[in-house]
Amino acid sequence: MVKKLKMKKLAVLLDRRWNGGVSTHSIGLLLSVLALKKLIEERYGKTEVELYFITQEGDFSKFYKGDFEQLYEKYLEGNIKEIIKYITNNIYKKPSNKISLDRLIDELSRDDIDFKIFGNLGSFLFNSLGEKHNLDKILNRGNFVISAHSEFAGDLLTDMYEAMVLNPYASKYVSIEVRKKIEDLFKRRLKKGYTDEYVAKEVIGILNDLLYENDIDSIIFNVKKGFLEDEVKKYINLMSKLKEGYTIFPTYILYEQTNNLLKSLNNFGFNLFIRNPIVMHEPMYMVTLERAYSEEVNIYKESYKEIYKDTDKIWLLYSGRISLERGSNELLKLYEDLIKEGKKVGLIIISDNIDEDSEFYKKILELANKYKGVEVHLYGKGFGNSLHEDPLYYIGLLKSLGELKNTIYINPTYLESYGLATLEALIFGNLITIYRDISGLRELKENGYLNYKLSFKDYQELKDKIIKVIEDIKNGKYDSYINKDIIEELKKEVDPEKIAEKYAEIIYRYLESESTEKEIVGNKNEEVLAVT
Amino acid sequence: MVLTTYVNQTLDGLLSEYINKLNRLKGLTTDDFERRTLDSDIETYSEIIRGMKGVSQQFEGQLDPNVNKDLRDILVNFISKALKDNENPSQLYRIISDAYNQEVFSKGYETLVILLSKIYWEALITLGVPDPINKQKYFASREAKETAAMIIPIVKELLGEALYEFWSSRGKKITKEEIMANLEEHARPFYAAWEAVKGKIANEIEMLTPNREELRDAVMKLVDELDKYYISFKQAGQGRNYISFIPELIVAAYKAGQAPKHIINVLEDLIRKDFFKNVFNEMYNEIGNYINQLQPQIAQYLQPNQPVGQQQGQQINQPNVQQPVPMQQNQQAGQQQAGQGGQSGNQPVPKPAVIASP
Repeated sequence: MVKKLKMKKLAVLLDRRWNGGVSTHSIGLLLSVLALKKLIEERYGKTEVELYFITQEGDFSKFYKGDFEQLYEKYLEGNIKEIIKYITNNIYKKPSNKISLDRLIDELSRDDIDFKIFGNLGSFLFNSLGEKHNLDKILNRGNFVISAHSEFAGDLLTDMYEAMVLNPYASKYVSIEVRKKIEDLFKRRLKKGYTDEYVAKEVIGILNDLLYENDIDSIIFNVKKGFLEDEVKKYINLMSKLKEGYTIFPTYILYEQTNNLLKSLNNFGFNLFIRNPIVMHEPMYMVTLERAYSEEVNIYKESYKEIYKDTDKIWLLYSGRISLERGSNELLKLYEDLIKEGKKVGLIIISDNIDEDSEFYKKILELANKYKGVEVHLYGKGFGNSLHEDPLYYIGLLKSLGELKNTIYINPTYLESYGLATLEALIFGNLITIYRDISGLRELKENGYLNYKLSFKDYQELKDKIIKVIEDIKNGKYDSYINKDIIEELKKEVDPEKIAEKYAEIIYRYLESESTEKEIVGNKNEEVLAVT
Repeated sequence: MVLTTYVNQTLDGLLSEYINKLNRLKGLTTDDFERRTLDSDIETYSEIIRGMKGVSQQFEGQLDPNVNKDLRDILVNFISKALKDNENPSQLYRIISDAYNQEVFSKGYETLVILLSKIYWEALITLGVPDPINKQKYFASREAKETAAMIIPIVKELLGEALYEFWSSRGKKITKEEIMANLEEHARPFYAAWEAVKGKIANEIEMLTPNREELRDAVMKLVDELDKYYISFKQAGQGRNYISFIPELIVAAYKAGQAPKHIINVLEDLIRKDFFKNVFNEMYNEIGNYINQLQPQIAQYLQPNQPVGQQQGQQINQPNVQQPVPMQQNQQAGQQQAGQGGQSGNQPVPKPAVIASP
């Protein structure tokens, strides 16, 4: 049978503005889209993919157009390292690849794009992309999928906390009652580990009062107000577009928190809802990397085993940003308490935001001066030994620690919409993982990926559990905490190729429902001949 | 740091002048209300000046290539490219400062108009208005926009006044209201005058050598870097946390006092003292001194027949930079690894930085 088929065209926008989860996700998503092209071609024939990046350079967002075809060739050759370097070493940031926002909008608005993939919902919030007239152009049909990563109500609350509570000038123009209320909400959210309906409602209520019922003659306050208002307007513009298209959430709880916020906004006369929410894992690029370079990883693993094999210590491993909301202060307190009690423990910190000038580093030095037996290993850009710049090393380290069975991974964060780093420790290291019982991590526990015995709610519980696990490890019970079957299953779930299949299903669903509609209206395309 | 000393001395001197004048006025009145108002003025000026001095303290180190690695890389690149082309880096550097001095800082009252126009347009561009020269739009972070939004109302007032004075002194018939109604347009040619200096510098460099591209790029990178520290928002590099001195000074003044009229008085008085020009010259001199310091090391590295193994490569990458202070290290981990030979376990992997009890 001869059927007329049109070449398919996809567009993908990756967000590389910040370090952290969103940026890491963009690498996994690129690998998924490379696999996706193959799947779409198998089903529909030739497919073109346009690749765009949004980056942060100093104070400014910049836009680049990448060379997808070149990456696809490398993908087919199995040259995964080159693909990852293309992003992490900023190779796409050639001056000739730079494009203006207007051009990006024009290209993303073209009618010949069959489907668009946006790596981060937040891409639309801090620049002109989120203005209504631009969204009307870019998200003009339901042919898009957007991934959500962070939780907007929580971000707003943090902004308000910073501007109205921490800012010493705020007392000049915000009443003590309002400041107290914001502080209480902030603490409630930290304690609960997520934004419940009450917090969402109160945040929107306070914001409304601040924006529209507060007439204060202060440039600082009005500037802050202006930006909060701008951000909220863009968020509402964007949410009003999610009545079409598909929205991906890495956890159900992030979807629920977003819904709580929409409900609160709808009390002010909006009609916002997400038509097609999809809850699915984020692609973990290290899975592809490990598969492609397993021998190299093994060599690194052996090297790290040489470093960590002969110590009589139990190692605590922390990977991530050093900050208050990440619980890093409690991590240090825990380490101090364990050392004080004479436990033989070492601490491994993998973080690109610590260096010799940071307060955290100085606190570690104080501990080393104060107590015997302190041993802290630091990996990060600040020390010229970052493991994230070449993640094969990180995989090697995790594997070595897992094989030595002498390490406990700790995630003391207060806010986590997904928990990528925790899953990495689990998947590559089979490490015992202790985590705070909050939002994204709680959901991973409820889904059985994280050991339910190892969650904690407060510092005392963390300390008690660590002490118990240390004893169990010494008594040869390490394996009792590890469920290898679940970990294997998880590894398959987060494989970028598996995620590509899920994206493909979304696209098939859209394209095939669309083509049915087109047949009904008798729309005939006669561009490319293909034989099926 | 000469810059910090100059800024602090100038600001302290200005504050003393205010306090003396206000105290004199206090002595002339017996009205309690007037006296209280004058006391409050003293307090406001003190807060503003304190805020501004804070900026110069934070700025400490920004112009020191031993501290600021980005600046170091740019300077090393500049000196190397100049030496490879048989040019004297210091003389080349003089081309830059001479160009600014000729085209901007030796123009009397016009200098002020150019500077204020540059600050004003930088703020507008940061807020999303297309650059009037290349029509390009920049999308700034929220923090940068907040700074820009605070600067605009203050600079607007000063700029309107400056433009009015400038045109009036040349016998042009225009009212301040007419200028304010179309301030962007009136400021545009003066903003362009600042930007045109860069074109002039690029041109002069190109006329010096047939290897124009390399040397020109190295010089222009340095020009942009210096422009950035002094006044600009839009040349910021990837992920860099920097302070652009003049805008930051205005914002600090505002945050400290929240009194626009007083700030305008302070800025006007600073302008009268050639403060902006002097800050610029101090910055340029400071960088010039570093160029003089770095030049011999780089020249030595570039000499042919350098004996192998002297680790000159390291010198060129890190001239005059002290090595990080050694941590209290228990080298056990690293030594274990170094002791292995020829096996898979001896592959070079990033080793941990270790802090351990003595």
